[in-house]
Amino acid sequence: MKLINKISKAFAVITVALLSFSCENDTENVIEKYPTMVEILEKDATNFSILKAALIKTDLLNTFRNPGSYTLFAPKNSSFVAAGIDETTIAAMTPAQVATLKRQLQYHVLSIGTLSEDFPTNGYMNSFSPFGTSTSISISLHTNKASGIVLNGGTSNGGAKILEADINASNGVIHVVDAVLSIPKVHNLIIANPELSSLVGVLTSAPQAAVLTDLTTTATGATNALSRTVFAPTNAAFTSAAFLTGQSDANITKVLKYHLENNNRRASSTTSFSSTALVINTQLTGPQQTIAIAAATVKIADITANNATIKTINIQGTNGVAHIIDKVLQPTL
Amino acid sequence: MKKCIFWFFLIVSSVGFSQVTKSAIAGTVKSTTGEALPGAVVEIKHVPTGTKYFSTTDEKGNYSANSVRPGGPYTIKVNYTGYNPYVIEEVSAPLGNSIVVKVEMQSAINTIEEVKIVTANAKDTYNKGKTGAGQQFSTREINSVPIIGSRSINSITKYNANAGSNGSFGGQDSRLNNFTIDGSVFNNGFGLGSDTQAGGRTGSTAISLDAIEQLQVNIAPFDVRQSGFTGSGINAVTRSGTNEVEGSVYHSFRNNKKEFLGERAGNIKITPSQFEEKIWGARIGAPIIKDKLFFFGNFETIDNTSPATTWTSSGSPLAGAQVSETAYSDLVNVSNLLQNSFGYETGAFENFDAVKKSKKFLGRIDWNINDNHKLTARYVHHDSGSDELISNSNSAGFGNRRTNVFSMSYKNSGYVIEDNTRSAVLEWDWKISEKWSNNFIAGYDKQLENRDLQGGGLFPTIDIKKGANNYISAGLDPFTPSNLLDYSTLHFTNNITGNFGKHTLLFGANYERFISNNNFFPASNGVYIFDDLTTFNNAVAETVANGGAPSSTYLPSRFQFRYSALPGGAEPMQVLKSNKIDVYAQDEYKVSNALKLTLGLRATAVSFEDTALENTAVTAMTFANGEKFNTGEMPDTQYLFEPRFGFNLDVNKNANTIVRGGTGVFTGRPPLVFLSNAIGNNGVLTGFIDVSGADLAAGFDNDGNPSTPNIPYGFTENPGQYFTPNTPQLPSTFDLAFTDKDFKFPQSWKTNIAIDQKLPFGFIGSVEGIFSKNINEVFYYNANLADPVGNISNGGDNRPYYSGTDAGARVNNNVSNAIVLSNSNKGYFYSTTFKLEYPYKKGFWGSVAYTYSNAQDLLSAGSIASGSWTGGRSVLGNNNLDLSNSNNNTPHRIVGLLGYKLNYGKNYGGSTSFNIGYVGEQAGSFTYTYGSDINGDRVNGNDLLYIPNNVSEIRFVDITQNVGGVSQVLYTAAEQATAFDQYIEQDSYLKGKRGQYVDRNANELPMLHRLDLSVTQDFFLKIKGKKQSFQFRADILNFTNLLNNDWGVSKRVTNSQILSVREAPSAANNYTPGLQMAIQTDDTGKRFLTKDTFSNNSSAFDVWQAQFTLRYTFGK
Repeated sequence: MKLINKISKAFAVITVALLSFSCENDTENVIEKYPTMVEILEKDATNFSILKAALIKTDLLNTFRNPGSYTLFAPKNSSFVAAGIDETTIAAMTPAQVATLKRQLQYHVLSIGTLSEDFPTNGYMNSFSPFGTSTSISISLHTNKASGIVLNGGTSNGGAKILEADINASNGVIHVVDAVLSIPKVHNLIIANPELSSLVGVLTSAPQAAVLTDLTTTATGATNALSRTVFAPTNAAFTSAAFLTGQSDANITKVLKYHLENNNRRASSTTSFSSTALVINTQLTGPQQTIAIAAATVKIADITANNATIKTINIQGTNGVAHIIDKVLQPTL
Repeated sequence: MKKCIFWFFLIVSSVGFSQVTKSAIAGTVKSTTGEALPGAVVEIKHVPTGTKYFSTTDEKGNYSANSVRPGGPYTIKVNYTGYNPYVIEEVSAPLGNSIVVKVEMQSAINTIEEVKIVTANAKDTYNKGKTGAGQQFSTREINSVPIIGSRSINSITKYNANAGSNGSFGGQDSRLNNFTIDGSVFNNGFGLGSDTQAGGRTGSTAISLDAIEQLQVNIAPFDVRQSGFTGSGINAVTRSGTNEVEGSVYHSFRNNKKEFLGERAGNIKITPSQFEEKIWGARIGAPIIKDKLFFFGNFETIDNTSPATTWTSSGSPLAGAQVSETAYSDLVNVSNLLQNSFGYETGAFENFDAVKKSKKFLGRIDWNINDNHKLTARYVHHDSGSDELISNSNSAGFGNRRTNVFSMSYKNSGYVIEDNTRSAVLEWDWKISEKWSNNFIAGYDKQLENRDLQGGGLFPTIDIKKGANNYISAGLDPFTPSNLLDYSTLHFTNNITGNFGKHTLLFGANYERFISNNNFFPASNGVYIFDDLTTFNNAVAETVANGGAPSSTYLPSRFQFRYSALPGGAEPMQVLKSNKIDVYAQDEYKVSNALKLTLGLRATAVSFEDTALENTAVTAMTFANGEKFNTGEMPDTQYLFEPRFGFNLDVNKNANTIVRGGTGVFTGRPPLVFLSNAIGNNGVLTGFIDVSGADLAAGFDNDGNPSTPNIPYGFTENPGQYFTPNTPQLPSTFDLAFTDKDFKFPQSWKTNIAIDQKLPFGFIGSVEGIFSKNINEVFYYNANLADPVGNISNGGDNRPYYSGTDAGARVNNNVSNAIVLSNSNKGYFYSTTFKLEYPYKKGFWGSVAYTYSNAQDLLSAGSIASGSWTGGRSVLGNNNLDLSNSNNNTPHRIVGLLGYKLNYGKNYGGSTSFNIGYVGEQAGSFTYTYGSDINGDRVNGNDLLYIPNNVSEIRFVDITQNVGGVSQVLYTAAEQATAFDQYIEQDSYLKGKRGQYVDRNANELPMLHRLDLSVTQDFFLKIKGKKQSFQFRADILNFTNLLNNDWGVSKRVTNSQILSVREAPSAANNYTPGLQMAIQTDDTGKRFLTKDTFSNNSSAFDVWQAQFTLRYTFGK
């Protein structure tokens, strides 16, 4: 009996030990390493095979396989097909076409993994698509979170809407979009911003068609003469610009041209447009009218005593850059 | 009925007896009235083998057997006329201990009762004392400690309180331990890798734990026979055959499946990489002639198979988690091309296994020639190999060859690391007379660590690029051809011991001859880099068309070839031969029954044979401080002395309280690669061709005649045949290593004092203190480092600035490094240990110890001279090192072992045991340094970090990122400054160092508690008195992780190079460096500026791991 007691005692101890083996499957949050972006795309070949083919063709795929932190706006196969791109056309691309495709894909990438909640409600971010031949200046991207998340004002403006946000990858975040983004010109970036709707209204009015046409001209190269700098007044600025009241269409054209420079003039920082004082020759000529920015400030002087303040700098499109200002600049009319 | 009444004491630890392979039993025979009984015959019998030792008491009643088999049990019989015969059974003599058995005999005349044989168990008594710090591990402990895999001895010795992490002891490099088995030297003597013992390079061990009988760890033994270490002396003895046939067959297995491995480290899910390990083993011990001749044998094989690579090629029929861009078709084509053109077999490129194998055999004969002569012979044969992939290093060829998104390579491009052991030892014990006995050991141990090929044979290394990256690598690994290492130790030891009552005298001598042959001959197979696959294909076609001669139209973009510069093109073997002769003498003096002293002196002469070659170009050079060196000179013969003193005081003469200790010098054997470095790095062994660009087409002048056409450096199967110059061109730039003429082997002066106290309920408590001061420690300096040229301006940090260019930071511009191996004496170590022990009783045994220690040194050496020097951490440059915590510093350490065994049944039944091993330690210190080079000394990562009072003192530069040619700012300078400030504030050490430099190894990883468990269940059946038992055993490492995912998970330093130097200080930036903050990756893979000192680890070592063993045993 003693033997049996001892054996049963031993088994009791073993049973307790074995029971403890099985008590680990609690269902608290398990952290798993996220898959890489490429793995996510590969898992859903029905939707992303064209995107993957495009990334391979343009030598960008490895970027999204390696560690890092990126944001990728991922159009589905249907969007690529709608844009006239599929595996067959990609395979048949000339080197020049591949280069163009690469710029367009780079426009779908941001420099740091950003969740949708961190997108500006109504503002701009930098993509990886280069401005012309520059290696440091890239094209801006507008986001608007008023109703869903709309990029660059939606498909009508060459932009898109986010279908599925915040797919976490180990090397960043993927947001699925409903269209292939076009690389915007500067006017697209202005149109995308509802705070500039007054300016857009004036620009798109029939009498100002020539000014708009000038802004939509294609420019190439980093400092191409066809590039434009736009000082874009906000809606509030238009509301408070009393001097506009009753002006003729021709004068309105003058006012608009007073906000434009034939140059791609970028600010050096949000607090100092330039370390040296600037006198800028605007498009308003005959006689030449200028605006001035004092050294190490973001204040613009026109003919009045009140300076405009630059609120947002360096909104870069393919053909120029815009800066948002809080006052409509007043030229000599 | 007569009763024989007697008293006896067993006290282990007469002073100083701590031998390497033996134990001793000694004592006195007296009458109950205290009268010495001279001429009493004492028979000491080793019961399992019937081996008998005899001693006759002298005029003071003393008897002794100085050299008996360790272990037991022993039966001691005393006969004396007029007194009742006296018998003690179950006396155990742990390895290296001398147990004292005092006998008080009752006169037969007055006795009226029955003779009673008293059974005593040595473990019941007090047996842990000696003069110095040390610990024994018995068979019971060795067999029950939870252990998996290759079952190395480290997994047992780590339960010594003075062990550090990674097998170090007493704050010393683990290679400064001396590891012997049966008295033969089993060290990792050359010292590549950091393992103490031979076999470490393939993760295996030369001797199975199943063949080990006893194990002893000595930190500070004051017996002069113990030498050869400044860390610890680890001595093991193997099992021997006994009168009973006893054997065992076992099989262990584990793999990466979830029955064997945990899945969660904290809340991180881990995906262990695939592996499968199987161990088969057997042992048998048997008498050949009863009581006379015995045999013991052990065989064990370990096979560990895992996928060599988890990457697959693009377009592969296999589905892989990791797909490389290299096209399946290209890999197949290159393989076919090499097969068809040269008959070269590339082997597979995906879905093949890497195997780690270890096969070992041990045989031992014990021969009791007669009562005065005993002979033991033991032989060990171990072969092990580990398959490795081709190296990714770019020090030959293009590098980044395999397991990445751009490139793949083949199986036969890899190699096999081998670690093979042959060890033979002969031990002869001779009892010369009643007073004198002699012990002689002769041993020869050889380690063979050559590299072998996986297949395919010798072939040039071919790196084929695509764009900016390597695409396919074929041919042999460039570092494998003629990569040879073997080393051997031949040694003889003779000890003669004489007993003269109060004095036991010992005279001994030891001779050790060490020879190492090391050959590192990278790129001697020829290394080609091709810019694209097409050129390579054409080059192959061309060399085939040329009948094997080099291609001349289609050339590589780079060709590298190393050849021997020795006469006749001999292999550039680096040979080291050293002779070490020791003589020693010791007196063990029994002052009284309570106090014993040992006094000894050991003298050593070490000399080196002239195997180094002179480089006359170097002899002509002058180095910093006007020093001159000759690469052909070996260090002078050195004479080293080890005086030792030890004492053991049995305070109340009843072994309840023992005070023991001593002081003395210990000489260690440095890893001899330290000395071999100077023989290898002398710049005269090899010549090197490295051509690219137009030089390739200009070609090789094979006949020294400028008017005949040269051979372009094209592709050929045999570069050596076409490109070996008739007159070797010695290199014009050198990477040099020297050994100071006066270099001395490491020595430390250790002082130790301890109190052992018997406590109630059978516990024994010990308090022990050790202080060890280095007399000679290994130190390196760079004799080619030029003086600083100014100071940097990095906030409050204005450390000296070296020029920042090779030419400016070097005394001789054609010498990259001139590292001198030398000595210093600054380091020290101290420790305090509190230990509580419960010796085996009624199935329970255990011990727990806490140690606080601190180890200080200037630098902790690696294997290669230049690496050891650059491994220093400094503010003023690595020739000015401050005393700081050693890499082997383990400040707080708790160890515990606990076992319980329950036996049941008689003729059939079983037993169940639970054994727990626990180690809690701060495993790993770390140092904050700058990434890259802030002081312009051309050494990266050695500059101690300066912590600014205010982050605005230092200059950050933006971190940018590039995608497809466009850079963007990821983190601005301002964001980094803020993040750095927050980082300092969250780090308890850095917070207090504002305005100062950090110290080396001042930071410790948090305490990590690891609890391992082994459970055994035995069933046995006795047939004709023979026990047949079947055992199931489970070993679970990191057991607590099984209970709770959050337990047993280790931490790592997120990044000790929290700042790196992006813009080096220069005149252009007023010597203010531009710094960047390190980036941290969290558990999901997300990256951000570093904000935590520690991150959680999530590897297979952070979850529980199990191994199951089935074992059948007969006999015992």
